[in-house]
Amino acid sequence: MRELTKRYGGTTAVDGLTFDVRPGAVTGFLGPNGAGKSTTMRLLLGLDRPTSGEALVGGRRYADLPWPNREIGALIDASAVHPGRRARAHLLALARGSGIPRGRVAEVLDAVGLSDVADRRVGGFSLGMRQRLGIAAALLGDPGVLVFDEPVNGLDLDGVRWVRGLFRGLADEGRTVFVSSHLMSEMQLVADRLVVVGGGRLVADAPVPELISAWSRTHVVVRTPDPDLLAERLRRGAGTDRPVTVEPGDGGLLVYGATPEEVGDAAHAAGARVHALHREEASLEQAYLELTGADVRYAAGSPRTPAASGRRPRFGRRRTERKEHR
Amino acid sequence: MTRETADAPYPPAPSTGRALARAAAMEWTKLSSVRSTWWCLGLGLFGMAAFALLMGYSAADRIAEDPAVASGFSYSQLTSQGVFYLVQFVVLTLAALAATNEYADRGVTSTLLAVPRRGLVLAARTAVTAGFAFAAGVAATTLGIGVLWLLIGAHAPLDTEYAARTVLGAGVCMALFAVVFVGIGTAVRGTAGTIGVGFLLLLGLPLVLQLSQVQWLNDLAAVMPGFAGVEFYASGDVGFYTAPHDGAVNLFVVLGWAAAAQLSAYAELRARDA
Repeated sequence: MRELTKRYGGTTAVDGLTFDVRPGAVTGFLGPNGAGKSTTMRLLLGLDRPTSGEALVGGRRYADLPWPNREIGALIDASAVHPGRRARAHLLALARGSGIPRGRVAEVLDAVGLSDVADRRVGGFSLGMRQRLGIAAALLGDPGVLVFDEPVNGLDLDGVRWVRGLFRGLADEGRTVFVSSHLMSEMQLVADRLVVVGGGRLVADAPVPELISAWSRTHVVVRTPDPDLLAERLRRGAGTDRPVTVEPGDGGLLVYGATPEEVGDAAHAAGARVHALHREEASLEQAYLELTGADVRYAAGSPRTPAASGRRPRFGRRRTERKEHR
Repeated sequence: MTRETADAPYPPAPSTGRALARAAAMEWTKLSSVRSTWWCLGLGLFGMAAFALLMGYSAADRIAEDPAVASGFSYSQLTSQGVFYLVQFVVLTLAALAATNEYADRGVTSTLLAVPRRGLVLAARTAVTAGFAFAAGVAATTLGIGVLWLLIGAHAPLDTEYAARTVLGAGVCMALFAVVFVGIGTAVRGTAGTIGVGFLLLLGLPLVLQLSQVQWLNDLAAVMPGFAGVEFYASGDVGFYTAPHDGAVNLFVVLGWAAAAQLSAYAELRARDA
């Protein structure tokens, strides 16, 4: 993606996105609903035209690929199948259109566990079965690049675990796997790298562990009846070079950038009473909320994106409030 | 996106002809794997058979009363009216569904992933639907003439050469109507809208133009596809007033509609997001 931008009338769905998705890894594409994930994928696949910028696969536009389905397989919308068509016929039509031998149809049906229902009409399929059918269609051309938009929606626990294993396996074979989701917890389990978007803009692009350590803001919770005393002391320095920030918490303080030992020592030095002191590990989910929350705050105050600020500020404020309560 | 893994080399890029053949195979697989296609064909055939039975029966009745009536009996006229009143609307429905189904169920995404060149998709879909409509038109007309012949063949001889012209003409015209309505459907993207527009073009508008009693409006009705079409496949022996002109001009009128519809479909398909 290079400076990818897509506007619908006055709404900017994707705003200057630039990032790469690398082979041999599962790259998670994360963002809240309406962040521009699906639009980005549709732009990549040539379904929609970018307003500006470009999205290339192996250096080429999707429409310029001589064998598109053999180079990139995609699941964009699992329910996008004629309800009266049988699963096998759906895949057969796609195989014929992209010059893939028809033998692959039975192979991918088997791979996703739909062989038994291949001759049933798709209208009777559950959402989970449709997701499997969509994944089968993506695998049809045995492509090196795979794009999945919200693939675990509607899958049961078994299905979700199967999808995780499948993605891992595809990436381990050296393929590029690009998966979008709005579920942080799911991405934490399956992705090696995360591209996070909010309001159409890139928020983060980093390996998962790096993202957790950089953004999770693990902090120390201290309960004290003398918060002002301790806060004053901590702000002057907790005996470290790192910047320390202090926020009021429930019955005490939240301290960022210091260890529990350092906070305890500071309390002792300040003469503040301490009733409880512990470290709170932030999960990736928290990091995600903070990342997109920060972005939403920015969007709300930014005059450059009138559409985003018009649509989103209420969410942003609510999210910020929730964080302060925590 | 970059990709560094070593792949098995792909075969060279397919020629446009091969790509079109593959797209057509895909479109045929899709068209033939939904029930509505076969329902449309069945309804068209059933409608024509019922129409021919009804007309043949009443003609046989009249011939029984007055044998001289038999000399004025026209196989072509009656079957052409069957095509005009029944079969062309089945073709309209079929073409509208073929063009718009994928916009209703979003299946167009997987189609365009398999064949990203939109012109190819439109050409393949049009060709496949037109081929099917040609077969349906030929079959329905043949069936109509056959049923009529069974009922009154004893009184009115069948000029097979003339009948063959009607059969072929109806097939060609139904194929061209499929081209028109796949085009309109692709441009409009809605099934109901396409069928509504089609109904107006085939029947509603020309009838209103004739009702106006204004001569130039009346003449305009002749360049609507439904009237021009029936003039063409009935070889002028329509049995009701359509237009002042006969012959090839009617075929060119339908061809003009087909070209216009396809051009607007192509422009729309290229410019608009799927």
